[in-house]
Amino acid sequence: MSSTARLSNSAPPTATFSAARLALDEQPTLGGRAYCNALSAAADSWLSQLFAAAVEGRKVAAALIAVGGYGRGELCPGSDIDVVLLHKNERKISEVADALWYPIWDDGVHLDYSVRTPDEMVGMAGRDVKVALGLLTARCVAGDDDLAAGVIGQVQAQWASKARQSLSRLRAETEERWEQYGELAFLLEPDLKRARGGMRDVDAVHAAAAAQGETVAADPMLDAAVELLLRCRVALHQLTGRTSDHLVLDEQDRVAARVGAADADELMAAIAAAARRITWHSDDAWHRIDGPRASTDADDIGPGLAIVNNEIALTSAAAPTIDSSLALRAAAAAAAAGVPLAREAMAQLAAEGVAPPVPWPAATRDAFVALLGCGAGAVSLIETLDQLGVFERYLPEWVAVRSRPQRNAYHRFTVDRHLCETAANAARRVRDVGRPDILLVAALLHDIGKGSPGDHTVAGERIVADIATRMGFPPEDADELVRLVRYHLLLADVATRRDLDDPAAVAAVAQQVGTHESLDLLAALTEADSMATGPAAWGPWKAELLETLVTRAHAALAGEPPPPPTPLSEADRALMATGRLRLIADEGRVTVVAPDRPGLLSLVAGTFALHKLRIRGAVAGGEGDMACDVFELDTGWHDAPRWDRIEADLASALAGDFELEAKLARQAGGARPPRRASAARAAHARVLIDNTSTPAATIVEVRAPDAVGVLYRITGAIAVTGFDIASAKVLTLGHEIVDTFYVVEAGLGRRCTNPAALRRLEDAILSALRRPW
Amino acid sequence: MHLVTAIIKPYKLEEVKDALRGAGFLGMTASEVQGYGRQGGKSETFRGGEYQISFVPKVKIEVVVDTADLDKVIDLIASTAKTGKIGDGKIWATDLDRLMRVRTGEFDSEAL
Repeated sequence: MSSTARLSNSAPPTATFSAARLALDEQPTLGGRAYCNALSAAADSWLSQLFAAAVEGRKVAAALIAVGGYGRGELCPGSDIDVVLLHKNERKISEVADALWYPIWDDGVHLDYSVRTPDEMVGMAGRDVKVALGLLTARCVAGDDDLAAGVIGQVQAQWASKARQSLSRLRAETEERWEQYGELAFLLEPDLKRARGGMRDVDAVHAAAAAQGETVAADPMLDAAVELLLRCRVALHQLTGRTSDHLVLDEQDRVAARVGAADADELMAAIAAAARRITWHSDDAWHRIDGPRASTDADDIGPGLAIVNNEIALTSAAAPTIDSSLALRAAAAAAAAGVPLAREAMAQLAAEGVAPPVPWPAATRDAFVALLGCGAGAVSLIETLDQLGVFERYLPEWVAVRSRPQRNAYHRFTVDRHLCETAANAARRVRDVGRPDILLVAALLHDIGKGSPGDHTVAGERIVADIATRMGFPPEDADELVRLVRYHLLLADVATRRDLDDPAAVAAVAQQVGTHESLDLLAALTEADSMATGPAAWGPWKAELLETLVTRAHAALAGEPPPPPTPLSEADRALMATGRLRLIADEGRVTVVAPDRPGLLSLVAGTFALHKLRIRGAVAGGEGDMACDVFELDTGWHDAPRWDRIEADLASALAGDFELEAKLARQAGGARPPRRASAARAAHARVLIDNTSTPAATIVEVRAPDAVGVLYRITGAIAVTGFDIASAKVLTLGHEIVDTFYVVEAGLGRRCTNPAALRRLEDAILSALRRPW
Repeated sequence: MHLVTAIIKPYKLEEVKDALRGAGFLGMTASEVQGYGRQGGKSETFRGGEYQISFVPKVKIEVVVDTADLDKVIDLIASTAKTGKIGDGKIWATDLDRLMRVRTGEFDSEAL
């Protein structure tokens, strides 16, 4: 109890840190580094006063040391105040500590502290790379300057004297962080500090240089990148009042406004560009640390190029002002050999390289294709050429898609990175197609229209026609490239949203694509594109559908008849003969046999939703008054479903004594909105009715935000307006669902041509989706 | 009725128990828990590794009281458990809808 009285007496004599922070927060124009420096200075003066009060009347050899970000003067509003109380084995040090820490805690400031002797501090830094990193940029805030400077100097000397160990620990720590936080430039909701390309990477480069006794060369573009990230981090902390550096979608608009960006898209593009600069800088630094420094003999790898000291260098024969293939060949050689471009080579290519003449010489076009053909290794080299301003000499259109964000959960990359990744995926499929060069170029350019207003496919066709001609492709090849861009979504759309047993759907694809060669190219492009889009865009389910569609489209092109629809199996018939509800689960496929009734599919969908099973597709079948519906389920569930319970619930629901609606409402009410990234803007529900694609049925496509029981609602609305569902496909694109239903008029089993009935159907679906639980 | 929950230093449990019993509050539930607060589970002179937030052993006590006695009970626990050092804990109270004594079937204030 006695300490309480003393602590209240030692309250800070002037304004507290939190008051100083509030005053700074009212100056939004202060910027990033200026704000952080000012806040660090405020912390310094507050802590010096607290320290002076804490040691008053005591004779202690002690110093208060700022470490980590605070040591660098990069204190952000939500940062911990990270300090070490250094002392020479003072017995009374805990009294000093008490007098220091309590006022800080009482001010509500996050404090990260330790109390150490010089030996403890140096020993700790030798064992723990994080401690060492924090101390490399440490400085004395208050107390015994000489004591502090001596220990900090010792830690720095230790870091440099064990350079190899320091670098390998730093490397391991850095890679672990990259693995955990991903790449800042390509993430929808990045961590500004820890993601690859974030501020930690800059600190790591400085620490690596310190280990080698070097300093990092000044780079104004790097400083500008760090300044932007600091500003965003300050704004994020100020707006949220929290310490998280995770820039979530919900905050991006407000952060954009605070840092003066036009909107969140512009902000995220600027952040991506900054992160790329930092990543490029950091990669360059690490390459140089890794690369063996011993000189090896120059290895000739084509006109003007050589591998020197494990880097791609330009020889004296290189003619960057004349040879427009040089930069591309250098990059391809680097990608193929897995070595970096030499710094001098990069500088020379950037300064002296020229745009290729139009049309491109064949050698330049070949070098371009060869670079794309290097696959995953080419991605970072294209990035390097882009950072040097070289890539846009070949493709000025690239500027419009550079760092362009795609702010929804379906896409994982910015447009330019998505294009590079697609080309890298396509490089693995070159043996499956007749024209690898066309596949690779189409993969790189298929979304180039996303930099232009309007439909990206239409814009892309025009842009690619120009580029293909400029690149010197003959007209028929240019036409093929344009066709691939035009139809790059066709196979994926039809495979996931149309009934592949419907000959009309397959025939339409065959007719649009035209030839076996184009179909192979399109299939490879579709796979490469889907894999580069995001985890929701590719998986075994989609792969199987795509393969089925491609096989059937090839058959249709060859004039072969479509396969007959799968008949009911004997087992199914035997189950139907019982006249009772039966539910047979086989891996991801569930067959439901039940007495037929309107809305059966809706009740099944609702019951499955209640048990958290996701339906991916459904085919309705049956004979007489028995239905036999087959459901494809998403097998990504965590626990094995309790089929006995599901069957019992379904039986109750069919009997009408089960409050399905109420139970789903409870589940929807209890379901927290998913914490994962969704989309920048909420999806709106839309219904598209297609009565022309197939004579057998009316195709109803519904797009809506994903929610509990959404399929239950749509299928219920279809049933009550007098339609039967022949088959259904359910697609979840991150935050949005795209459900396709082949519906027929109930009882008549045929396509509906009555516009009024179709309007009623559309209205019923939309109002069912709007209905609150 | 309110449920008073207090997180206190383990060695203060006996004192708090005696104080509550002395003031006429007869029932209490205590459990061993671990947690951390603003100081991240560190002592004043922390010498461990960096970046660790450690859980500290604590005792959680729960007492159901009549709303009229609420402030008195909170004050009593606070004054008994207080050392003035970090880690003294927290006390909170929540409104209680229903209380039943299982053996007799008595409800609410009857069951207190």
